[in-house]
Amino acid sequence: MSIHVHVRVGVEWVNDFHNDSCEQNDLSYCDDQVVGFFNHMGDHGHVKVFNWGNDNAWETDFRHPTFGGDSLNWSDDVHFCMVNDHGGNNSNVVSFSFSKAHTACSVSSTKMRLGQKNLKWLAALGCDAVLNTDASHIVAVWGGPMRGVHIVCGYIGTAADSWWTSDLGEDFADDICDGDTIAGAWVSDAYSFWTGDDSIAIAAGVSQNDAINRRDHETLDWRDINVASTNWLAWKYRT
Amino acid sequence: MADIKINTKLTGPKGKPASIYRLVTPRVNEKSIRELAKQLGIQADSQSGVLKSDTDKLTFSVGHLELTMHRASGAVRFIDRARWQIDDRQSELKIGDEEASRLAQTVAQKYKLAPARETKFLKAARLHVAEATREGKEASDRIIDVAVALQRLVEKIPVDGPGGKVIVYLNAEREMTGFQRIWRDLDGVHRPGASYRPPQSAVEDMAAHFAKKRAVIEVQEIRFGYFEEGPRTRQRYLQPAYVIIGMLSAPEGGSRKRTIYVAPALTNNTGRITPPLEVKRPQRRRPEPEAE
Repeated sequence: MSIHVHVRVGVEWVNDFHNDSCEQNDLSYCDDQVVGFFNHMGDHGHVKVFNWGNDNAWETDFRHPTFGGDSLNWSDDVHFCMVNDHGGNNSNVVSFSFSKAHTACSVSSTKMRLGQKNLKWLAALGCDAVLNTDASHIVAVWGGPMRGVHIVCGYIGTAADSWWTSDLGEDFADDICDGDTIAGAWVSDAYSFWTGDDSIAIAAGVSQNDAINRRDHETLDWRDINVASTNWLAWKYRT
Repeated sequence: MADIKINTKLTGPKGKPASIYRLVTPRVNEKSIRELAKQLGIQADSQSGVLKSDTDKLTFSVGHLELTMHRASGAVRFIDRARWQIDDRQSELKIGDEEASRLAQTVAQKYKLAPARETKFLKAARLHVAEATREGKEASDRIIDVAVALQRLVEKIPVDGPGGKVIVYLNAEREMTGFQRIWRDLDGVHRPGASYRPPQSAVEDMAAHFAKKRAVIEVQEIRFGYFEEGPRTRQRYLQPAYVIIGMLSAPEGGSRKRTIYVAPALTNNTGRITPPLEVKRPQRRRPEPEAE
């Protein structure tokens, strides 16, 4: 099945951190995964909007203007945003780390309002999108930040920075552009017996039925079928 | 330079060094995929089905049945799209690892995916579907499928890596809905193993690999086995390897990420396994937004 709409795509990644207040362990393959996604989405006719790496990736791109950020011009000005760097999760708050303070070294999910403009799908490839699969934890982490975004994809606990998963973005792009469901393709492609990556995809909906439908059936063709209000979350995961 | 800390015991393999094997060049063409389809009970004469070809793979579909062969590896994936990972909103699969393993072995034997004596149970990974209100009320969680990985054995040594596996998917009715086989056939001994490198030298390889990275890597586990690549990679030899699992850990419980490095285990190996890190051109500096 082919896809009938074009989506706007943006990606951000960080491999190299500075030896300053933003210091983190350097990574090696974050760019391979998300730039592979970016380029393959482009190969399938979708619109490549931004690819910001290392010092060009800024936390303000994810922080909502209510909190002084610029998300509506970047992460929320595309339909599909993929980000890969160090992730963290403390007290049900996810954070993405950046190499340069612009203006902070990280952004927390309490300062995100995902989907208030154009964002439909977010894939966060850093660690700890969720720490476990307890419903109370999952809704506590993502129930607040999901404000119109349809589906968030990520990992349960840590993820691998590995040459052997560097094709993930390409595979995922190819699958969803061939018409596979977004949640199904992510959970299937990102799970790895070999690296130990456990994948999860979380869909929002105005009702239980809406959230389940999106989890089970949403493809890129659902771009303009908006989530008016996040009242339910439905997720799938392999572990 | 990466700072490597060892949090595990470094113990090398015992006994006579394992051999290095040549691998058969996979035969991936219309004839081979139709033959395989017939073996699976799919109607696959020259008039039936839809054949799609791209640079990576060949895909043969009949109705909702889809068979894919990867050109680089000969890896096979079969999916029944009407049933694979599909939820009917009520079924629940309650199955223990032992039963899942037994059923997966039955599938592997029925379709001649792998000889039973050359596999062992690796892991059963369950697919869950769950939902709750935004406040966490009315929560439910069901298992709708289990993926059972059978790990390949060569000379009774486990085959590690993204390959060397048969993965069987079972639905709530305990029926096979798909499988993946990443299993390159052996073409005889390329060279007998001379002696094993100590695992410490594999850790030194890892340190050299990450020499230009600033990181603290805690080595948590070193596994020994043959190493088989994934579906997209051409591989000529199957050689023994050390698989080093590390954790990039920030102090005081900060961000973490796992890292993996694979090094050859024999002194007379056929070359490095983890490719060197690419030197990439930095992006042009992003312009600052204009002040309002």
